[in-house]
Amino acid sequence: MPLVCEVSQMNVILETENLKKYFSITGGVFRRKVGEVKAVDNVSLRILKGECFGLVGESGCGKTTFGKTVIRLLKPTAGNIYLDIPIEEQEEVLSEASSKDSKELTKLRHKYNIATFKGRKLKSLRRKMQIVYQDPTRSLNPRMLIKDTVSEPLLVQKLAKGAQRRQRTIEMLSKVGLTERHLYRYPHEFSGGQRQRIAIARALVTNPEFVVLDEPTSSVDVSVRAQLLNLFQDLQKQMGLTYLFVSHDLSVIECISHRVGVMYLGKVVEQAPTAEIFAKPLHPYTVALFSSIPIPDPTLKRERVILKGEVPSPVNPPRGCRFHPRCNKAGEICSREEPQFVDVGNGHLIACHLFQK
Amino acid sequence: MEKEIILNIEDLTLRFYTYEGIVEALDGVNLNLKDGETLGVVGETGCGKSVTGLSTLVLVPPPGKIEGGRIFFGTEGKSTDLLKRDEAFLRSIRGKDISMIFQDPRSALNPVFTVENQIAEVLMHHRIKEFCGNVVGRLEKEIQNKKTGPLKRFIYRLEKNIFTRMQKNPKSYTLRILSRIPIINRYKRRLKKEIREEVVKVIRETEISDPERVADMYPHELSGGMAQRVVIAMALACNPTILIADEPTTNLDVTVQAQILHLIRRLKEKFGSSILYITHDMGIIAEMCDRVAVMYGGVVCEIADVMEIFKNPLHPYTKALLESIPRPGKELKSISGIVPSLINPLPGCRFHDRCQNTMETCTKIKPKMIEVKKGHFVQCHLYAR
Repeated sequence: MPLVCEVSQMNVILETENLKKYFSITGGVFRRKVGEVKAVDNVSLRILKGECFGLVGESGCGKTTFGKTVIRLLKPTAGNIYLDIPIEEQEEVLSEASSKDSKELTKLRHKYNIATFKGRKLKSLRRKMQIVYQDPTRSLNPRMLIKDTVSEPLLVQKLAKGAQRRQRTIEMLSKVGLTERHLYRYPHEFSGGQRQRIAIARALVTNPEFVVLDEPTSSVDVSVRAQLLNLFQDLQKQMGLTYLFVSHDLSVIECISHRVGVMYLGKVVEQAPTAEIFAKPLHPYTVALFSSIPIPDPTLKRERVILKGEVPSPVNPPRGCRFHPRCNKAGEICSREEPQFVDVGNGHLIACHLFQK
Repeated sequence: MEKEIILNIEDLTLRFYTYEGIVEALDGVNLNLKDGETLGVVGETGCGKSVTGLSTLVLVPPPGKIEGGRIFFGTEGKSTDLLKRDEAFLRSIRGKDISMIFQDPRSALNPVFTVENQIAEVLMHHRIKEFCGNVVGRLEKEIQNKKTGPLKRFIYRLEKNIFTRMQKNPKSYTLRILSRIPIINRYKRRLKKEIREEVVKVIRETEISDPERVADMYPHELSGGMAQRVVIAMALACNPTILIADEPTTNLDVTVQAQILHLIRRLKEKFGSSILYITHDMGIIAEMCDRVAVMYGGVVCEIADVMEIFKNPLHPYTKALLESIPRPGKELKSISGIVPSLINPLPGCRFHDRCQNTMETCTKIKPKMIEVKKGHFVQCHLYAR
């Protein structure tokens, strides 16, 4: 993996600390809270500048919610999100022990903690982080011309006006492989792949630093998917972007990401560099997940781990390790205690009792 | 050993008459399915793979019309052209000899009926005589049982009469009247009980835990994987000779997909059905199929064994399709352009505008199917002799 080496270890663009997002279920006449869907529960991740972090998991495991919470489209229930801290101050903010006294430190942390941002501050933040949704047919307004769709962020963020705005729109469109003659058309006149390109152009027109790609290739065909993946890689190099690539398609993740995090039921259970995790998946869930992808090679016959049952409801997640009811290696401790992350070398982190020292 | 061909599609042409124009969805499709094999049909959206599956059952939705071709079903000598038969014959085949697993299990199930009701419908339609026979057998045992009193024996005799009649002709006029008279129509309970047993057996076959409970559920209570299992149970209820699986795992997660694929493979071995597996995922093709047909723009452009397709693809489209699968460490090649619209399709070879080896003849003449190697057919001018 070429880019991982280029990324300096400490240049963190985004860090989440015990991020939680619960959706409350209300019921009764007074809309009282009767339960909570624990969509994202205590997730701590670190995303480095210039990398593409792949987040995989089954549907309903909270990966999309995590993506949306991280860019503050949803307000987190608890936890901190630090974005874009200058390198000099990174150590201070992110490390637990610090030379400064606690009051000053809290103040400093508060400055970069986007979990608490509101109003104008939050709006200006949107310039730095953008999202590309799964289905471009639904994420583009069918009544808006392409030029309006793509240039709207410029207007909202007051970045460009008039001729300049038009100029930047055309520039952006050409970057994603569309031309000036597409400006005065409506979304329905485009094919699925082209629509996704428009959605990408809209996300990138403000020159963001961090982009969440929420399953951008799941609604297009194989041949178009390859085109889009190549486009993502080119744009990343050109514009120095950092991606959070959310997907359930492991072959895509393997192709585009530098590091991968595996989510299960609101928790990240394993994270490691792509090559490492695909060569040597350790967590029982990751093993099962990886062995269930059909490999396009008929000569390869391999041992499959087929999971029993289905993902439990996130309203009442199992106690202890959340995977233990379906795990074939579950021991007695798994149902009691929640495993913590352990580093097994090469930046390979895993939350499983089997690897606890 | 040469296997017998049980389904043979010849020159199938299908058009959709829409307001925007005539969509030439299928343009001379040739396919055959051998006994006991799994034939994979791959292609991108809109290449006509689903419609091929539907026309095998002669179930093409209205603006679509089958314009020409033949679909032979059955072994050599006993085969019939499905396109020439009437609706009554087709209805006796659908679900019994040829059945289908649909793409989206949620829309394939009726939300207002329980799972039991929906599976029972298939069984009632095709196997009612068998069930009546079972009921008659049971009643006979009761009658001969010395413990039964004279009144009960009388009732059982009456019931036996009804069921023997039903076995002969389930839709007879007298029965229809009887079934509407209160109290007397209680005889139906026996049949219902008999069918429920079979339904539970069929559901158990698909590895659903607690089939008794699932039988009483409504589709919205089922998860995606469970719903797909129910649809599979419905398709396999009458042990069909041919099973058409139209992207059965597209909306499911990978782990559930693995479970379903495993299930289909196991049931295929058990019942010995042949499967026409329609999908766009090359990975599934590699795992499930014996032979592969690659479709593009309403035409089958290549047919060969799985090994052959992956090792030695001949048609430029197949090559491009295989190269556009993301593999780590390899540069990802993509096919330029987009899937063409089938309204006013290109003359000649339909792939020629995206093909890298386009020649002059490609733009003018439609290529013919050529057997390059034994069992390896390709429709491309590059291999014409």
